[in-house]
Amino acid sequence: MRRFELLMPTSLDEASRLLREREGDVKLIAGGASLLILMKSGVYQPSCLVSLQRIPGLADVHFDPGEGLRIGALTTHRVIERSPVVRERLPVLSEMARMVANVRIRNTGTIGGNLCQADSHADPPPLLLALGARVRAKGGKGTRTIPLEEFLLDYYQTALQPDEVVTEVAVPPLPAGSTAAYLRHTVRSAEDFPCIGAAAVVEWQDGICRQVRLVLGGVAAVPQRARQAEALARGRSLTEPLIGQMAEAAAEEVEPISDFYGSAWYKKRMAGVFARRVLLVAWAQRTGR
Amino acid sequence: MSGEGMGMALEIVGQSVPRSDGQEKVAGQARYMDAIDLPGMLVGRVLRSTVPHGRLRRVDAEKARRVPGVVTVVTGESLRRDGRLNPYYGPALLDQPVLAIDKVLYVGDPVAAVAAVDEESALEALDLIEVEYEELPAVFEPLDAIAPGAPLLHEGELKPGGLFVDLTDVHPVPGTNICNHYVMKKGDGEAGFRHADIVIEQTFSIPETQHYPLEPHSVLAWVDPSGRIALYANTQQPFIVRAQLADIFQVPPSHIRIMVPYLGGAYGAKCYPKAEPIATVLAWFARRPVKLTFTREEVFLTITKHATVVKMKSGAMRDGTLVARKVECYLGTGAYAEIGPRVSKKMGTNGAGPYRIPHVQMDAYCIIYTNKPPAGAFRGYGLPQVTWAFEQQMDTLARELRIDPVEIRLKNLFVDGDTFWYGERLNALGLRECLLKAAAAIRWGEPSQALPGKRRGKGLAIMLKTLTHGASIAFVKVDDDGTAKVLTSTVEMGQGSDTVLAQIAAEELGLPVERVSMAHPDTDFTPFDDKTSGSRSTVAMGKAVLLAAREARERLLELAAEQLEASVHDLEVRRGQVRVRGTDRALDVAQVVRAHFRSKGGTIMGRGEFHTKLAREEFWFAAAGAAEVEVDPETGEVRVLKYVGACDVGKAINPHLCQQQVLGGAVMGLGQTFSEEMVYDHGQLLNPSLINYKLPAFRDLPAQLEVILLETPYSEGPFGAKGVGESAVPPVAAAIGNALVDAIGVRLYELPITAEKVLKALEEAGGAGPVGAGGAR
Repeated sequence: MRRFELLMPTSLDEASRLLREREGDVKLIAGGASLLILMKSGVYQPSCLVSLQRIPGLADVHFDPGEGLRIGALTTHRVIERSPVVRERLPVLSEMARMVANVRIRNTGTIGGNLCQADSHADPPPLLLALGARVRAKGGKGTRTIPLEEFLLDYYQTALQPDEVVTEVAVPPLPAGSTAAYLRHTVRSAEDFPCIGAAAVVEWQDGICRQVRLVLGGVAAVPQRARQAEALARGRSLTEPLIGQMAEAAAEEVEPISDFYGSAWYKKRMAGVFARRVLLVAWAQRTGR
Repeated sequence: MSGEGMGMALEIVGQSVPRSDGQEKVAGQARYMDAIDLPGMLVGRVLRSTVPHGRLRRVDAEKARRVPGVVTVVTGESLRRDGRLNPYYGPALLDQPVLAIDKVLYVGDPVAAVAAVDEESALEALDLIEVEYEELPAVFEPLDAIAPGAPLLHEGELKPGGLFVDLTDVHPVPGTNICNHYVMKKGDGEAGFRHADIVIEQTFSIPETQHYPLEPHSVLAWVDPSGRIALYANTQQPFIVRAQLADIFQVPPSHIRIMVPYLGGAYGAKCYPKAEPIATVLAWFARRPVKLTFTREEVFLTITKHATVVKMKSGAMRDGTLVARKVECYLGTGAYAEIGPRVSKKMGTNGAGPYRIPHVQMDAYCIIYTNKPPAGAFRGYGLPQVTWAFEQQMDTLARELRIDPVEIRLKNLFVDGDTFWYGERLNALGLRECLLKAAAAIRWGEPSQALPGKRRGKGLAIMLKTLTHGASIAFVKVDDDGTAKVLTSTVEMGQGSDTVLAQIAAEELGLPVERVSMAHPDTDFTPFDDKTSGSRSTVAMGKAVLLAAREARERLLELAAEQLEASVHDLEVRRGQVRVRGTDRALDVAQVVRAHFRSKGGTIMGRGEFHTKLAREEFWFAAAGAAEVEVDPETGEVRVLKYVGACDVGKAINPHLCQQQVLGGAVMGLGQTFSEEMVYDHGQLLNPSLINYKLPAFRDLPAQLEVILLETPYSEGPFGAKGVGESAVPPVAAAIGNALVDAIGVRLYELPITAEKVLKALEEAGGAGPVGAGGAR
């Protein structure tokens, strides 16, 4: 690895200023789980790293009745996995965090770093997207809140400005009576990124499915919402055949890209299989089956 | 006289004594290459080719030389201009330049090397070396490389390496990319097929994979004021590397000294020269110590397992008796022959499978040059590739003939007293027992119970591997405090040789095992050993250590007989005491030594030598693997519920270490079966790290992983021992491939077995077949 300078600002303003001053030759480092690998392999060769570790308040997790769960950008996957407040308010998030890689990586990698890395196969984005999460970022021009759908732009690309720092992820509370599930399908190793990650959030009213959000990660550059599949269920009661139709629709509408995890053909097939399976889990949660 | 000869109860051999290096390794105190530095040491780095095949138009290192901190920049051209060195090396053929001369042959081929005061300066210098390539057409797959009109990699005449007697018959086929063609014939192949009731033909393929030792190749080289060259190197073969360096530097071998610390794994990746030539050339020009440690990406670009295509045709009678087999193996050896020709020989010798077949035609065709990183020794040495083929073919025959897969193997497999292809008389095989034990452990014949929506099945595979040849020599010295030091050039690379060889010496010397310690290889002082590979250290070096210990023991007893005024024949030595049998007249070994030298001080020496024979009466090691798998027919995912590795070890000197070898081999085999594959795009390796090259993680292991050790004593081995380092690897893939057929009725021919390939094969077959009957037909 090339030699680099490590800067450790103590405030967001200072971090933002450093990012501005060194633009083009600087990388922001949170846990470093992904960045250091890319630096070791020479993909990135920044002469300067700006670390967030000394900025207070970036690793808090709390519940706000209006905004829902507010998870500081520096919160590790392991903390999300074990956090009592996450387990109470959004157990599905804790369950997803438990599936990330292995315990060593979960202890290092952060939720903010994960989203900013914008890896197409990461676990958190599809679930957070299905949950309607928003990303809060602070830069020279102030603070803004970006829906995750608008935050993730392409492979390794986000909507962040060069001097913006993600400070937290806000996940709105689930409407009463909703169920949510996340499944991942690994093809090379249980500790690998998933080939496909499937998330479903279903809002129920008197046994009728009021609304579904179905998101498939790993299929293409950014997580894909299966809107046509979602539409099939709106206002109807779920049945196995309906879930089957939704899965078919989801497989039909995703536009997979071949990569190390599978060909477009395989991913399309798995999009259908895991759309069905994740919907079955979310359905079973309601019916207790 | 000896413990072994007298058939006395063994005290140390056969015990799972703790590894002698365990504590220091767990505590992080063991010394590996990374911990070895010298004052004034420079850092070496290598510039590598970015094109798969090309002529070097220009390599301009002037700007690099001017970088502050850079001491030396070496290119192929500067080696040639210097004229004092012979820049070509290679164990089989002298076809590999230390740094590319005139041509580059693969993406990653070393083009230039830099030695600088620190890594930063070295990397900066690499960036400033200007290289112009004239790209040439490239060829990547073995079958393409032998097609008419394929681009030639090596255009001139190739000189033989001249190192090994068994490689004097390596003959490149002029005007082709074939650098060796091994032929073996028995009976009359075509006539055999005419007799057969059934003939089947299949083609199997295996991709390049990595050995992936945790520790990369690393060398610290320097030239002392007298001009002698010295190295610390993490090699499995200090003497062979010394011989190769001696040829490069045109000096006698004794002009070079190689010392080997602990190795962090090797699996064949550290046989033959790797980082040594470049590091030593840098030190030679710089006249300062140079350390060169490859990055992980460089390890990927340095050595691989041979990608192989195996075409196999078998003829059998209706009762399952094999009558004829024709095999063609096409090995892609990459840009340089390395030890490929020997791998092709071994693959050819073993490639028809461990079965009595009257008519065999083997064309272990050829090691074929391709524009990819060189392939070489890999745990199992050709067997993992051919076992994937012959054991799936046996299973296919069994299915076609409706014979139980265990039965068809029992009917045909080699047993003691059979003769092998070159007339070798087989004995102490244990093959049949391995098969039967593995089958019993997997509950062969009992149907598997699958969960709803899943399919289960069982499969098994066997293999038989010949011993690699070579000589091993050991010295044992007993000091005046009653401790012994064993001097060998066996490399402790995690396999436990330090512990096992000490157990053999301690047993024979009658000393507690804690009183015996092992020297590590130093070509100046430890005696010759051919190599630490091919599962040979316990049997070959173990035997040399046994003989050396026996000689030292006999000398001790002679001295003690005088001192105790007894006949040598009445003496025994146990637990550090020489005793007149049946009496309390005894002397401690320390006293015996001191009394002889009449002072504090003194050494008793013993020497042992063992040669494995080249062509006959070799020992053979047998293994079987059995698997139960569960398949998700919707996703193609295959989960191994249980894997059983059964290996005949002759005698388990240290049962725990034998078990670990089998476990480790099985896990390595699982990786090769399911996830490991080097992926290229036009010769550019796309996955040179664990991000996209996947080794099995703990959570990927079977719920049950069972080891069975069998002990059919081998008369030449120490206490009857055979080797076990490689045995467990070859059967894994075929056992799982066969289990897959049992589960879903679909056979895969290409490794690795991925979920996507399984699903695709299922689709093509129109869905999963009838539920597996658990092996029973």
